[in-house]
Amino acid sequence: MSKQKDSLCDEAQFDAFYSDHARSLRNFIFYKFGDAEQSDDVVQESFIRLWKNCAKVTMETAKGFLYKVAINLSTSLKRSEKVRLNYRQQAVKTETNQESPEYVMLEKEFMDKLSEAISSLPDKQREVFLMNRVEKKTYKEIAELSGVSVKAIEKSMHKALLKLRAKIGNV
Amino acid sequence: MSSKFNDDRFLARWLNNELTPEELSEFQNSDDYAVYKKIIAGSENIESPAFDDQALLSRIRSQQSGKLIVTKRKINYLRYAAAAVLLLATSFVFYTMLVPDMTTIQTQIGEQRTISLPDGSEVVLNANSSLTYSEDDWEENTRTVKLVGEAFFKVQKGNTFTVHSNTGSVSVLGTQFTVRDVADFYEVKCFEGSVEVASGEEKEILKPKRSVRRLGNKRMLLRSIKGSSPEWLIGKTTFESVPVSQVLAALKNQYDIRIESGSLDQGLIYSGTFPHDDLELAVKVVFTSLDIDYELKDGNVVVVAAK
Repeated sequence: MSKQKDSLCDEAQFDAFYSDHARSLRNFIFYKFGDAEQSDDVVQESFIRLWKNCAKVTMETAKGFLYKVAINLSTSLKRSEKVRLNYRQQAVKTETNQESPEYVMLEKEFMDKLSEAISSLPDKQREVFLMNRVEKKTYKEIAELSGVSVKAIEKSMHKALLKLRAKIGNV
Repeated sequence: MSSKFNDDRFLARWLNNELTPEELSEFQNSDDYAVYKKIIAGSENIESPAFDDQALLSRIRSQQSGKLIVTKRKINYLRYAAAAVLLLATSFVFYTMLVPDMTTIQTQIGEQRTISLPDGSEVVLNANSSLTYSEDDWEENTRTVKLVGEAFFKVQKGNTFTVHSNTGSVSVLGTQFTVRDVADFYEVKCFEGSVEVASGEEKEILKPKRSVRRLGNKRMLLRSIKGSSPEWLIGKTTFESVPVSQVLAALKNQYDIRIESGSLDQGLIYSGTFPHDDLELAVKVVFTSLDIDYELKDGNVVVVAAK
C-alpha cells in the first residue's frame, strides 16, 4: 500500500476502518446509553463526520476522533429510561448442561436477576462491566476509549461487582 | 461484606488474574467467592443487540453527498446538465433571498443544552441563550459561531475557532472557556489552553484560570478564577463581584419569573451562588445576601425593595 493511500479519504481504507470499529463503537454507546436504535444513529452520524474530516484526521487519531464525536453526540441526546439487555437462553457453560432441569430453571431466574442488576448499574459502571465482560476489552482499552485512567476503570469494575453482588443476594 | 477487600480495585484485579496467591486463596475461601464466580459466568451469556453493520454502512454512504458515491458514478451528461440547472436555480434563490444555511439553537428559560459541532467540539449553552453557526462553512476552515447569552466551549484542536457576540470576539485553537455576553456585561473565562479576546480597541490573551470582563464602556479587567469548569454546568450559578442587574438577569434565565425592582440601587455589587432547581431558596440567598427585602408573589413575581 502506497503512503498516500494510507488515508481515510481512500474508500477502501474507510470501509476497512468501518468494519474494524463500527460494532465496538455501537456496543460502547449502547452500554452507555441503553437505546439500540439511537446508538445506531450515533454511529452513523459519527462515521459521516469522520468521512467529512478524513483529510484532517490521520489513521492514528481516527479512533479517538470517532469515539469523541460519538460520546459528544450521545450526551446531547436523551438517555434511555431503561437499558434492555438480552442473554442467550440456553446455558452455554458445559457444567450447567449436565444439571437437572430444576437447576436450569434456577439458571433462568438467575439470569433475569443478573441482567436486571446490570441494567440498573450506574452508567459508568455498566459501561465498564459490559465492555470488559461482553466485548472482552482490556481495562487499558476501555480507559483509552473513554479518556480516563486505567485505575479509574478498575475502580468502576470493582464497584460494579460489589453492586451486582449486593443486588443478587444469596444464590 | 465489601469492607473485607484490601483495596478498591480488588475485584478488577481478580478478573485480570493479578491477585497474589495469598489474596486469591483467601478470596476463594470466602462465602462470597461462589456468588462472584456465578455473576461472571452468567455475564458470559449477555448479548449485545443485533447489529447490521452492512445496512448501516450503506446508510452512511447514501447520507453523505461526498466522494464515496461520486467516485463510483459513471459520467452522465444529462445528470450534470440537470445539476447545473438546479445549481443555477438554487443560487438564484440564495442571492435574491439572502438566506444563508445557518443552524441556530435556542435554549428556553431554565434549560441547558449540549451541542456537538461538526468538528467534534462541544458547546454547553446556558439558559435563555442562542448559538448560530453554518454547517456548510464549517468545512471551509472557518470555525465560527455567534453567541447570544452564555455558553461553555470545549474546542477540539484545529484551525482558529471564533466566538462572536455582541460585545467582542474570542479566538482560540483548542481549549475550554466560557463566554457570557448579557446586557452590558461581557466576560470570558479560560479553563484550559489560551484564548484571545478582542472587544472594541482592546485585546487580551488569557491563560488558564484567568478571566477578563468588561462592564459597559469601561476598560477590560483581568481577574483570576477558581475551579476547573463553570458552576452552572452542575446546576448552580456563581458570581463574583458583578452588578446586581447580572444576577437578576441570571435568575430570570433560570426561572420563569418577573422581577419588579424599580427602587433597587443599580450600583449594588453581588457575589454569591444560587441553585437552579429551587426558586424559593435561590431568591432567598440572592436577596438576603444583598440585604434587600423581597416578596415572592403567586410563585413567579418577585417584588424587591431596598432597605
